[in-house]
Amino acid sequence: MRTLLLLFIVVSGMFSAVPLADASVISLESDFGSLHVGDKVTVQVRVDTELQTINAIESTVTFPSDLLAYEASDDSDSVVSLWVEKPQLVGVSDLHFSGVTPGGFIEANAQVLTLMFTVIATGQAFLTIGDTALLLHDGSGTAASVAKQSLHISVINGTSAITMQTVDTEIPEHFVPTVLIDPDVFDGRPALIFATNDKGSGIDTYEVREGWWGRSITAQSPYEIIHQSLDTVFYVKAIDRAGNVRAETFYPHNWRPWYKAPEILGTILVLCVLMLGLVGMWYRRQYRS
Amino acid sequence: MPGLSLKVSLARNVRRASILGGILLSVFFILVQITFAQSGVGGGTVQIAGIVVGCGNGIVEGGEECDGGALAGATCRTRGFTSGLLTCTASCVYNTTSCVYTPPVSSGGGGSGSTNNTAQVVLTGRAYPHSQVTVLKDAQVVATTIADNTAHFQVLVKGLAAGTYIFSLYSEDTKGVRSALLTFPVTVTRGILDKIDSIFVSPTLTGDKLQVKRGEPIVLFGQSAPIANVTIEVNSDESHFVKTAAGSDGVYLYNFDTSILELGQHHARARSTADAVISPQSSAYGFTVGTTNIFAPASTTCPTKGDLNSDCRVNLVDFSIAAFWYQKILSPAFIIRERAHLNGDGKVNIIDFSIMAFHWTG
Repeated sequence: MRTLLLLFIVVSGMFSAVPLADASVISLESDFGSLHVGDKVTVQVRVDTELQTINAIESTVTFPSDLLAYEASDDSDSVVSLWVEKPQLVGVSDLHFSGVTPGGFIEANAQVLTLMFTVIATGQAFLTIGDTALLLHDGSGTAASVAKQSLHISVINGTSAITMQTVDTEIPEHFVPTVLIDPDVFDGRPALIFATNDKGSGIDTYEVREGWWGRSITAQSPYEIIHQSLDTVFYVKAIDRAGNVRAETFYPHNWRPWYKAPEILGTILVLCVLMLGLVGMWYRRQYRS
Repeated sequence: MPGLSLKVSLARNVRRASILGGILLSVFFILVQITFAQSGVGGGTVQIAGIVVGCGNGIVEGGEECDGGALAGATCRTRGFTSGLLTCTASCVYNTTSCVYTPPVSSGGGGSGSTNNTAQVVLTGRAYPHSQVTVLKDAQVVATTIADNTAHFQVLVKGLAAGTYIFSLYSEDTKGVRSALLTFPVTVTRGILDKIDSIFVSPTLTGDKLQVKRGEPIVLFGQSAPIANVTIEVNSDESHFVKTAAGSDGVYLYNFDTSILELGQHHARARSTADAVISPQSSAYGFTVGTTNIFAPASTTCPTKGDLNSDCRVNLVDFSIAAFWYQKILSPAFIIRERAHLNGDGKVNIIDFSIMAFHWTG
């Protein structure tokens, strides 16, 4: 019986919380009932606003890095519209994130994030919520009272049986990159700004390419433009976690098609004349010989 | 063998011509490439003047959906409506006011009807007569329309992937004052038309004084749906509720007697009722009860906070500027802007983004 109990895997959920009256609750939840080393596990970060309107979230999730390896996060169904900081590892066991929802939201079970881990060792895994700010939609950024609910996961010896497969064939949503010129951003040098969402698996990364001959590089918004003369077309790719790509093209203010650029047209004309002259000379020489 | 000699000579000349032509074409293309590359690099001092996004020049450029008569090939049909005339607003976004949408006949089932292979959402409700209604999807403007003379509006958002979206909506009254932003989290399903109906935009509320001499009236006014009943709540040590009715143009006004208020800061909020539907509360109008009157300046249409680039909008541009300074030491120049447009604590953190989210216009 003892062995059975030890072998019984519990994803117990809430163990630390006695919610304060009228406090908004941020919680960690998981649907997985039995875990072994090698299993993939998802943990949802959720918020109950307790009838208050919340428009900003900043939090840290701490996990035992000796038991769980962080894989990725999924914000495809998130109540957060704009991420100030997408979930990122701080050190080896803290995941920090922050974002806002213009207009705010009132929900009893708002999905903020799904965190994905791989189980790497047996033991008792405690996932906790660190410093958290849930800010009221009051125009002043007043902090709401917060109660935190952590998560306990037991992992025992056994064969991994859980795999996760993200089926997402939708490309990220359409977006419009824009040039930003602001004296306090990159000392007034032009920057490219962009943002979109993906409802299937969430945005993984952005890539920017400057000009047809340019090289695609991973970028974050705001992105400092290399071709500061703003006469080069920009290609911005949003890539979701399933690898689907939305590519948008941005034609800046000074961009002109080649047939409308006098310097390019002039160069082509000069070259044509030069080429014709050379061909003519060559034929004359051939004719003489 | 003169014939054979001629053939050999001709073949040799053709070969030479091909080689020379090939070399010349290669040189030509290399030079063209260099020219393109140089035009892109533009080394040395770069002078950039004017507005980058040239709204109003009749050319659809980055960041614009349309510009004047240039609609980038869009029509009411391509925007999801069934008929009508698509135009462009002064801010270079599509104006679907004259577009008409006739929803398909629903087969029943709780407000959803079958559509094509993408998800669609229809938002219907009431704002203010002839007011512009702006719809945002995940914080970005997706549609604008103009309410009719009874304040009713209808907006269709189509081409959505299945998933959860945060739709939000606001309107502007005749003075250009914006309503509070209403949000609707919606989980949409492929092939289904979701309806968000009975939306009742909160009334606008402003006043004629920033500070009122105690005992004198402060005029509280705004706009709502025609003939709506408006309840104004003024917070003091205790809350005071007064009622008034909007006219046929939706405009309402109330002279509030301040003799019942304590000296100090107060806030007023309004809520409308029409046809048994109650609106959310308006944004708060703050005023002080003191010993002298200070009249409010003419109402401004610009957000009071969050508008870092002073274009009277709070959107991704302002968000990006703030994001650039997030958790960095601010420059002296940006400290001034932070003080004017954010919470003035000399740093950019999540509180500033919350303020921005409150004033968001998209």
